[in-house]
Amino acid sequence: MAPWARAKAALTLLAIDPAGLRGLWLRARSGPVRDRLTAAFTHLPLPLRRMHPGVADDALYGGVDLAATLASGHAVRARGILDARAAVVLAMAERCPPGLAVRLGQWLDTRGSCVIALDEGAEADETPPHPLTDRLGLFVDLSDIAWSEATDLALDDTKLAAARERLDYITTPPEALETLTRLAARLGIASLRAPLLAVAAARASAAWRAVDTVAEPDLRLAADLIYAHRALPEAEYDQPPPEDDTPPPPPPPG
Amino acid sequence: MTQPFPFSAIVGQAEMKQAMVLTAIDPGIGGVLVFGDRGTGKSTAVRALAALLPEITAVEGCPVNSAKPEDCPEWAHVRSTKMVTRATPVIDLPLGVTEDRVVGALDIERALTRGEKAFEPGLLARANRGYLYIDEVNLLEDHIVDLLLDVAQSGENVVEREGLSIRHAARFVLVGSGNPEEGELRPQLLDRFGLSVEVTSPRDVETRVEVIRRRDAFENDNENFMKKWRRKDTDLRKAILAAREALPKLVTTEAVLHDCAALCIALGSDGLRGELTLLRAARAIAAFEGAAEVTRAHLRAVAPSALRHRLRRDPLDEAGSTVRVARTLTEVLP
Repeated sequence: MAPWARAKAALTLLAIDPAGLRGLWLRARSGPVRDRLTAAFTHLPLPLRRMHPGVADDALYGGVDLAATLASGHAVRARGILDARAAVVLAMAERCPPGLAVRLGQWLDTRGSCVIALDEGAEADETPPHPLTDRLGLFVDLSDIAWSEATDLALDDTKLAAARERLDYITTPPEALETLTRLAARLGIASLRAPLLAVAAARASAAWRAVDTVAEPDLRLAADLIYAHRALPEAEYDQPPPEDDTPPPPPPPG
Repeated sequence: MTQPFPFSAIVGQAEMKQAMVLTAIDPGIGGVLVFGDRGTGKSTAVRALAALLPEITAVEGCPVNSAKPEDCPEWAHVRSTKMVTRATPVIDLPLGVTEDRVVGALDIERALTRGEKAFEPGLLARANRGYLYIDEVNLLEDHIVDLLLDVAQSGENVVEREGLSIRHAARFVLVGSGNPEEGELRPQLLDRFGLSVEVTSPRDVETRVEVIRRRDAFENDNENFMKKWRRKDTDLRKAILAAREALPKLVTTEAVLHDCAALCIALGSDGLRGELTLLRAARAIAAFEGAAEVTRAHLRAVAPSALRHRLRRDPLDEAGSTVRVARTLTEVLP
């Protein structure tokens, strides 16, 4: 799949089931290509909240609103960013301190929300902390995408809404769960969060294709979007994978 | 998500589950440290533990869950003498938490609105008689660690700040989890944990598939899933209560005490805490199994959890602490 088509596929799935996929790790330097993708976050069914890595606890969880309290004479609490379901856009995520990563991770575990980590890391090892990236389902790297490739990302909001409605009624055959788990193990992915995120991705994909059962194209897309960046380099595989078993690049949804 | 994942439904991870059950039987063992890979269900197990713990009775409205009306701290002005049962507190201590939230501080709300100097209890007050859970414990800031070490040792929280001078009981069991790749724990803090377990991602594919199946059922078929596993959790909770009652009647022979000491000497574990924890854990597991007396088999079952974090570094021994405990076990307790 072409990199930009892949970005579009990831965005589509995230817009269908942000809570199940937990979020997106977006690796790209700030620029027009990234702006084009971030502009499309408005398709998400959650309110967008932006934060920076140095955000303080009272901004996250709320606290006493000093001015309002003194003015009114009774305690007034300010609401925090994490008090409600939201899609949090974390700017400069490569600078995120471990404490914030753990807080966001625990918040994601309660379900209902998602985090989009904007990673501007320059070096290969300059990434957001692992407690966070392990929980975010999707990964997109825009580094090598030219402006001419980055076409407009207008998604059909009616179709997205229909897919979201269908999501609860999608059946996942037991074999599908098994295939995704086995594939993750074969790719050397230790974390058991990955297969669960892949199941969510496959369901969202089936909902987008307007079918009621998860089928092979959904599994392929899920494996590509969720496993590709998590897989260990081939030398570190547990067992050598049979050659015919790697899924070929799936067609973009829609 | 309102209800945590049921404890009984956790696949594999036998040592971690055993350690959690032992600390529920005898909180005196002193908590559990779970170290291991990401996505292995460490925090899931701790959250599930809360549902297994028997309820406590406490004075109504007491901020430190006092067991008797006369134990209520003076500053709390508790007038009620009614006893209520409540769930054993399992309190989260988040990373980057500020000192005032941990120990408690001046109640800003009352100071601003009524001009009164009152104390607002912190997390340590809420954790009294319960569990304090620290996720990613190895990333906790040093000054919070210092504070915790002192309170865990003395069982009392002393607050001297903002013109307040108060103290209250803070006896809690520490439960921590973390990933060793991201930093080591200070030996003083390690020692405060009674048991330590290492968890790894299951290597076996069938086990992994079962984990995913259950987790998926939990998230997408919650009602049926909970109905099925809640019964098993209830059975386990009853077994824990039965073990608590059996504990005082348990016989500990001289031979077992001797074995404990021999094992700790052979391993060169620091201090006497290792021996005491080993014995307590062995007694707890014997009670859980319904045995009449503690045997060598019980010691063997708990020795790795009770001792692996108390070994002195041996520059001539490259083997990991789990391997060293296992090796010494076969030598000393054949």
